[in-house]
Amino acid sequence: MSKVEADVVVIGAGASGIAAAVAAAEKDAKVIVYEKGSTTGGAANMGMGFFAVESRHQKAQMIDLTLDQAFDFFMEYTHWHADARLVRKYMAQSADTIEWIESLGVEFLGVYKYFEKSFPTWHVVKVPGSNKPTERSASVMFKALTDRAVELDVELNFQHTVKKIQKDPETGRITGVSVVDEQGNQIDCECDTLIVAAGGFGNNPEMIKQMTGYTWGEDLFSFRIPGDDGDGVNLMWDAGAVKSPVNVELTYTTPGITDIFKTLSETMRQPNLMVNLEGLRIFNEETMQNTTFTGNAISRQTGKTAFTIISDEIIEDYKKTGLDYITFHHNIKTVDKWQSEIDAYKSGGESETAGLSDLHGEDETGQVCFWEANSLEELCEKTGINYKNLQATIEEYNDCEGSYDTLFNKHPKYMRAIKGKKFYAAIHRPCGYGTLGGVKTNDMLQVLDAENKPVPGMYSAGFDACNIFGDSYCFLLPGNTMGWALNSGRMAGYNAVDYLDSDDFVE
Amino acid sequence: MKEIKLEIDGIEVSAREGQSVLNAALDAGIFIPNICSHPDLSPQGECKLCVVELRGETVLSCRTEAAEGMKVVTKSEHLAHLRNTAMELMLASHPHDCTSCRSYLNCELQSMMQYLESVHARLRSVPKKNIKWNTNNPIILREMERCIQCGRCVRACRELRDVGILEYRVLDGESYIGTAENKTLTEADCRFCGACVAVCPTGALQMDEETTYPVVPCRAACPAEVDIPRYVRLTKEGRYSEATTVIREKVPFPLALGHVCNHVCETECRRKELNEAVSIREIKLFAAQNDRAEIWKTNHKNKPATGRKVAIAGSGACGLTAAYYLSAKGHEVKVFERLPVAGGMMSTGIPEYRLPRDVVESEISALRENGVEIETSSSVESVEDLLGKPYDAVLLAVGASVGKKIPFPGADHPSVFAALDILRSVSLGETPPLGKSVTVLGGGNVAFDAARVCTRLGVEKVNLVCLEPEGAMLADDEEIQQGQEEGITIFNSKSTLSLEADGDALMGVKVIDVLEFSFGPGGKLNLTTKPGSEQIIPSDTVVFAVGQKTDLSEAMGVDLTPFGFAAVREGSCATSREGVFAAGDTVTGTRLLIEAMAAGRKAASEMDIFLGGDGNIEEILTSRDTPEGKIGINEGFAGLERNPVNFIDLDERLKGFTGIHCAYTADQAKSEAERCLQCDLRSCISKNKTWTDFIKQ
Repeated sequence: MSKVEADVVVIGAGASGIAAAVAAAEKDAKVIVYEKGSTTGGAANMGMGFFAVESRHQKAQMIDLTLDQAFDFFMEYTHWHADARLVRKYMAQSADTIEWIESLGVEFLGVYKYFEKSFPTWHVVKVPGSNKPTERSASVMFKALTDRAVELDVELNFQHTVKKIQKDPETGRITGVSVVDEQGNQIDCECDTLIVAAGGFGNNPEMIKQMTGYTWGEDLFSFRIPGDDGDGVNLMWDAGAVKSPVNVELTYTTPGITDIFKTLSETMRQPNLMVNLEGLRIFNEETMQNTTFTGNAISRQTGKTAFTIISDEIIEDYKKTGLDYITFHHNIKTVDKWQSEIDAYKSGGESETAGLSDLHGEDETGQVCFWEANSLEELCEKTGINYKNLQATIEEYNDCEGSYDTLFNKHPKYMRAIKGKKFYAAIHRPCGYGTLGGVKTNDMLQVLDAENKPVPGMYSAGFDACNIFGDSYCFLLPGNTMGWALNSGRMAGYNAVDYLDSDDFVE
Repeated sequence: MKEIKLEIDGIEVSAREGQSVLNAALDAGIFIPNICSHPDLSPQGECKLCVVELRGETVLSCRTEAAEGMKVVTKSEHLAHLRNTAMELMLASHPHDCTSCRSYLNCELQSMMQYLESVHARLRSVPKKNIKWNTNNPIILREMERCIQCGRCVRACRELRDVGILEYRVLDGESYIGTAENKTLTEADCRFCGACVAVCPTGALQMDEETTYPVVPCRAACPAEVDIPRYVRLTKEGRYSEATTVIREKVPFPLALGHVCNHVCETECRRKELNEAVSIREIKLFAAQNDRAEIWKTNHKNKPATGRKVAIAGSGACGLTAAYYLSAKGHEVKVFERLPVAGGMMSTGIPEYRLPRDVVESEISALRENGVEIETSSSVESVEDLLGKPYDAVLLAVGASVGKKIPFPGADHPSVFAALDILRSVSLGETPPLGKSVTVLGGGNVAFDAARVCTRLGVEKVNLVCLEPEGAMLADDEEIQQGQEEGITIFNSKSTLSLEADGDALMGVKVIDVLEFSFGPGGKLNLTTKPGSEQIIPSDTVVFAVGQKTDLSEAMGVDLTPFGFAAVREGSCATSREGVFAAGDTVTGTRLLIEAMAAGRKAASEMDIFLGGDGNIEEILTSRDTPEGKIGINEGFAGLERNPVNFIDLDERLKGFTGIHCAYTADQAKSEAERCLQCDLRSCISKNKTWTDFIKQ
């Protein structure tokens, strides 16, 4: 067993953890970081950018969304369930955080919407040598933050797992953490403040079931970042933190398709017909752009499933005109690869799903998520959709072709009739990026106990402490996940050091 | 070996003769990006990331030998451009989405994307077509859409293992990594050692589990952490004494465990994904029975006497294990046993036909030879009698020796016994007063021990009543099967209502059918029974086998839990009384034999620290030669069947208490050991360092 000492210990080197570490070290604290994985950036490595309002980029792009407007919109959206003081501080710091990141040599491509009806708040990181928005481009930023942390003498420990938070039994103050390294050696680290930024419990189906009611692999197919096992919230709960309600940052997915077969996935996400197992439409399909809202709508349906259905005639249309709706991050504009992807998907025999690793387990192989058929009847046989109802739905839907959608007022240009010689269906299931929340904090990011009092010296940031969205993640102000992670981490880092310098802290 | 001096980025670096520039740089703490190279594999030069400048030319540092006076540049705009292009070519056919990849955050490609600030931004994406070959395999997952064709797996299979079933293949103008004729891994005679997974820099190859850890599942599952793959390998090589010594490094009872260990290791054995687990216990028994040289006796040395004295109450598996390791640390140990024989459950609990007494006696006498003093027929009433008089520390390891009885109406009848009492009295040579028909209440291994002992004592009719339905009983399958062969009638899904008597004579057990049951907090039983299904199972003797407790009382002088077990500090063996420790069943209630030994080890370590030692009880009793990694092809490997356990015939079994379990033959032991996947070989493979490993601390 070895012993080390720090002013600030950070658990997790994802977006929030590395930001917290750099922020605390900028204020001259001795910082030690424990990360379970082999590199920094955590879940945010797969992201592209993050939220800010009133940034210099927005001003340059003549985007007139103000801090007040964004704040008001956000609080209305969350029905004031969120901590208004905390949301205000987060948004007020957000523009400066862009410059803070730029000071590390990171460049931004510009500000983007995530979809048509969202606000332009998403600041997308530029990949050197390219001016194309690219998935995973944010990983570049974490190299820069890591270099900065090293420059500021932050001690970064990879493949280290924190096992316990130590507290003074009398004062309740944080005194240290017990850590185990890659080889299983124990390390006792004494510290005065602790920032827990361990990324939630998206990789822990038991906790997901317990805290959200979803059953992973049955009615939830969320991303499972290895390592996001709930260590952080469990450690904090054991050390006196009160439990907060938890949400999944809901989206939707076609398991085995969405992450691998991009043309198939994007084509089946166009604003065409979406029905439930009963063969009934569930909403205005333009809403599919807002993946959270779509996830909510799908979660209401029998078996938490919905299907999009198109026909070969629609594919022929897309061959001529390109796709209706293009997500700029996937950037699939045409259906050129439609047939080759179908062939690749089916080449393993229809019994196999590619992609989502854990869906390769015994229970899930045999799951087919995309179907072709020569008639609607055959499609219904394969998918289990109620044929009679679907016939009626399509009859009514086709009557509105190119005109007023009498049921949901979808734009006439998206009212393409479902007719032809071949029909395609894809199943859509609730998905998500991880879990939001677990512990409650105040606007200083101090973790609260059951009496709403801060646990002295304990801070939390990122997914573990993300209670600002109420019941649904706010995709309308895009970039919020990483924006919250970076900004809450940064605030926690500064606040932790301010606490050490204050009269509240007694050695 | 000749030392070479060269200059890398202006820093003087020394290299070994024949070492590549890449490895010389990495050894010197200078990071050069690389992804197809690996410290244990020959260089291939596939990825082109390790380019450096030498005399104005661009060369691959992995394929360039370090030479005296060389001047190497690893960073320049030109090199960055080359590396980014190489990286983008690799990424063009790699999924753009890392979601759902199990190697996330432990992926060298992801790490390299950060380091080189290179994402798939500029090139058109070129999805792979040949990704579905060979994706349905046991143990090893192949998600070939993530493959970057670095060829590390091909080289590992050939160079590290001499198996060589993986190769580069071409189809429709696209190359991919597969097997000859696209055979499945099983058909290709894969050894499922996991070397390919260990060297894969991406998520293309993964172990088919939630996580890749533990790497060696049997060893991780063993409560005493016995190095199972090592002794299995030594047995295969005919080195039986060394094999036994490996077991002895962790537990002093290899023979007894060879007979009766519950082998949780086999439950976790990765081989069961292919067909059946390796029969680890049988390999252990064979090795231990054939340890002629007893090299452990030569190599084991007790440390010089410390002058400290330890008293241990109880001579069961826990107490004796602690005694052995404490005397090895130089302490003077005396064990007090209340019964006339030492060994606890090994001598007076587990029936003799399962664990022959001469086996236990021989292993205990070996401990005595090592300085452990055991005083039988001597019970400890209070730690006051021992602490300071003259003992410096005391261990309570009295076990859970009292069989529980549930207070059903009629349970106080003189013909009602606890299973442990029957087992103990038979072991001590007494004859318990059993009638003609016995009903045992309980469905665990102790229940079967009691029932099978009754059968051997000549009881005409032996019944066993338990709550669990068929197939869900707590006893080992082997016990259930042999018990039934021996004539025991099992009543499944029954709850006892009362014991019925007619005057002085016990008539039977009244039971009712159980539809559902569960245990609530504090072990409270929740039952749903079927109304009107009551029946009486006729029997004149009833035996309870429903759990055990300790016989500790306040008089012992340490705090007890509400259930009567010794209370210890969390994660420790220390009781409320300084200098007094408790471990094993005394603390936890009835557990496995191997768990008792593991508890004894933990107590010994903790007590050694208390007595001024370093607490290190680890022993290396046999040389640690690196196992041979080149395991080669073994035809039909995946199909090799498990050797059945040898038992004597039923007729012979029922004649009395002679041992029923015979060890493997040498051939059986060898062929069984051949079945091992040798998961531990993976621990010998190095980790390829990436940029985060070069961050200064």
